Amino acid sequence: MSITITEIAAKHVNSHLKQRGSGVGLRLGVKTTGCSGLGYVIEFADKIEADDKVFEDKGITLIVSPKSYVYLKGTELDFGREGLNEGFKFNNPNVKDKCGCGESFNV
Amino acid sequence: MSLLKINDPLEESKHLKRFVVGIDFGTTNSIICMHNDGKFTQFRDNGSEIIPSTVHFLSNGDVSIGLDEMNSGEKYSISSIKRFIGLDEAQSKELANKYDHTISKKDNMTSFNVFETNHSVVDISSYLLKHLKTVAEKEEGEKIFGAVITVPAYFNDSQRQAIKNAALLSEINVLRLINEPTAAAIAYGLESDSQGKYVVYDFGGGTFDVSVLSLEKGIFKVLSTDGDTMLGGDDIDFAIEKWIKDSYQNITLNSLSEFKNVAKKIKESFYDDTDVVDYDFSGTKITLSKEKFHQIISDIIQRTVTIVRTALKESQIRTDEIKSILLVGGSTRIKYIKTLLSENFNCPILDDIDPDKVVAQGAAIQAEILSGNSKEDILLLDVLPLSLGIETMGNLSEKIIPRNTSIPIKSKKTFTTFKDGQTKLLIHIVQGERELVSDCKSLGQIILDNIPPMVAGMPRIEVEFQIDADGMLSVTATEINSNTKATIDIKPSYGLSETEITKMISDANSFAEKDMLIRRNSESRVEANRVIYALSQALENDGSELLNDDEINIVNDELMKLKNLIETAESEKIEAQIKQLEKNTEFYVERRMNKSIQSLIRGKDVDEVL
Repeated sequence: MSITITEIAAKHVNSHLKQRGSGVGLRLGVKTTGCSGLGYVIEFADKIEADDKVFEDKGITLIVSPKSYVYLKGTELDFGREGLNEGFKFNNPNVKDKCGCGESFNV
Repeated sequence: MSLLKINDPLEESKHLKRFVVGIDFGTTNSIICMHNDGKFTQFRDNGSEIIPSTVHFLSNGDVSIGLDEMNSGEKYSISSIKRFIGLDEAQSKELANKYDHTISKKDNMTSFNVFETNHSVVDISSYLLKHLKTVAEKEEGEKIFGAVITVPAYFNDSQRQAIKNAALLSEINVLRLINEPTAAAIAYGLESDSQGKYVVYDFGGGTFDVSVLSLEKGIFKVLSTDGDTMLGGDDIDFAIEKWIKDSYQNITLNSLSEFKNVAKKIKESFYDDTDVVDYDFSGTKITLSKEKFHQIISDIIQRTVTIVRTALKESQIRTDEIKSILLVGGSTRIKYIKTLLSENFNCPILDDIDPDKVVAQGAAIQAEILSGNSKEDILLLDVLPLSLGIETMGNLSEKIIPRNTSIPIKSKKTFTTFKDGQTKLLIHIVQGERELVSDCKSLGQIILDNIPPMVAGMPRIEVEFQIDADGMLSVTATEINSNTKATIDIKPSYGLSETEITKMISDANSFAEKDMLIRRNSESRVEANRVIYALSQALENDGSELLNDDEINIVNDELMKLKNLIETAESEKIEAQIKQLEKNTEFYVERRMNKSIQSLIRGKDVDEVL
């Protein structure tokens, strides 16, 4: 299963990458955090490691470590606006529960 | 779902780079140094990297440090303050008399009476440190985040505390105090060897110190120290001075200090292997041959060699065990010292690094490592090679500190009990990336005893992991309500080689999928067990009171269904059954809730409850 990105998210990633001037793509991952177990990480990547899983979608290179991949399989990276805030969202089909604060999730 | 921003690891690392320095707080001179991107910067005061450890008090209350540039006005100078640190009253008096200082006691510390104000030894040390700090901050244009300060190896705890207090007063965050000889060894990069014994020969302006170091697993231990606090390069100057006076009696100099300067210049000429030094002094030619020079200073150098032998004897080290001798202190530039040392001890002499700066540079390297700025391959000392965590219900490993975290670090998580009235908790400390405890390496365990009996989930047990800069892990478990504690100290990198570590990490990646399934399976079973336990306890307590027989049957029925699934079923089925059970026993939960609310408000005024 691959990892994908929506049109609008790709547009934002592209402009961020252009502004930054360097980097090979975007690294997505999970880490243990929050009150319900796992949280998402999203950062610029300057390097692809040997065992990384790499996906190309809408011109964006998405990089995921094998350990994070099992939690992110089939995820779509989206961009949204909520009130005054805007930012990226993970549409992750593996998620069973989310915690109240929305910061962490369970598979 | 919260909205996320993209992190930039580059920005983070830039941000994390902190301005840290090493400080060689010397008896005669001090140096403040930074190590960054493999380069050293010694910060200059009045153009000099070597800053005299002298404090000048002016009659108007001002204090100036270092080079004595102001000649106007009345002035009182204190030098060699480091000699006073940690001396008792009688010793201080004796030393103060020698320097012509008036001293008394202030806050139980030796203090100097200067223009009717008392300044303690710690105060004066803090003026010096503060000055060094200002010099560095001015040049770098940034506040110092922290410093490693060097102290003589023979300093005891109270002397070390005095230096820490002085640093505190000068608003310097002390990352660590390290021994001067250890700093020198770090500057020479000796810690990358696996082991060995070294002699650090520190011959400064006014003091001579020798330390025997033993390196084991990248950590230096001081085996023995010896020295002479009244023997230094100055004594060599005196000897030369005396020789000039004896041999050239017709020379008259304007001042004593002029003699001293000439002697010093002649000494410096013998830093390399010069045969003869000619010095033209206001018409009189002074000629000193190498042989004669050696003869003049031979007594002094022989004394230092004897002290080295004593130190070796004390640490029970044979001469042939010494891997090398490190030279520290300006006086060691004299070629003759190197010759005599290699003749006597027959081992390599390390002298490539400027002996005046070597201690400060070692401290600067250590500061860089401790602050986490350095990304170099000091893997085991610098970052955690594998995650550390504890075992939780269901044979799962809960990570407390993730791998690659730079140390020192402190991190804690809160846990709780699983059974009602549980009074003990076994904390099993594990190392590794895998989800299951059986796939990780066990490091040790502690039992937290005397937890006050409470309902499951009520006690708050804080487990704190603390790793110091040497990689030593100490785990403390505390039950918050009762403040019951248990502690264990562990050396985490023990017994794991580089290859084992690499294998453990790659296993974690290749077994990621399997591990996730196992974690999920285990988590759902733990949850099911918890639900069964809680419900059974409730039934026992008030089941017959709140429920009729039919209702009890419903609850028991749901319980049985879940119990049957636990052993064999997939986690999805267990989770589904938990959901169903929760739905079908909702009425019972509601009644329990009502009952406890009733019991809370019974017999109370409306006002009290609201």
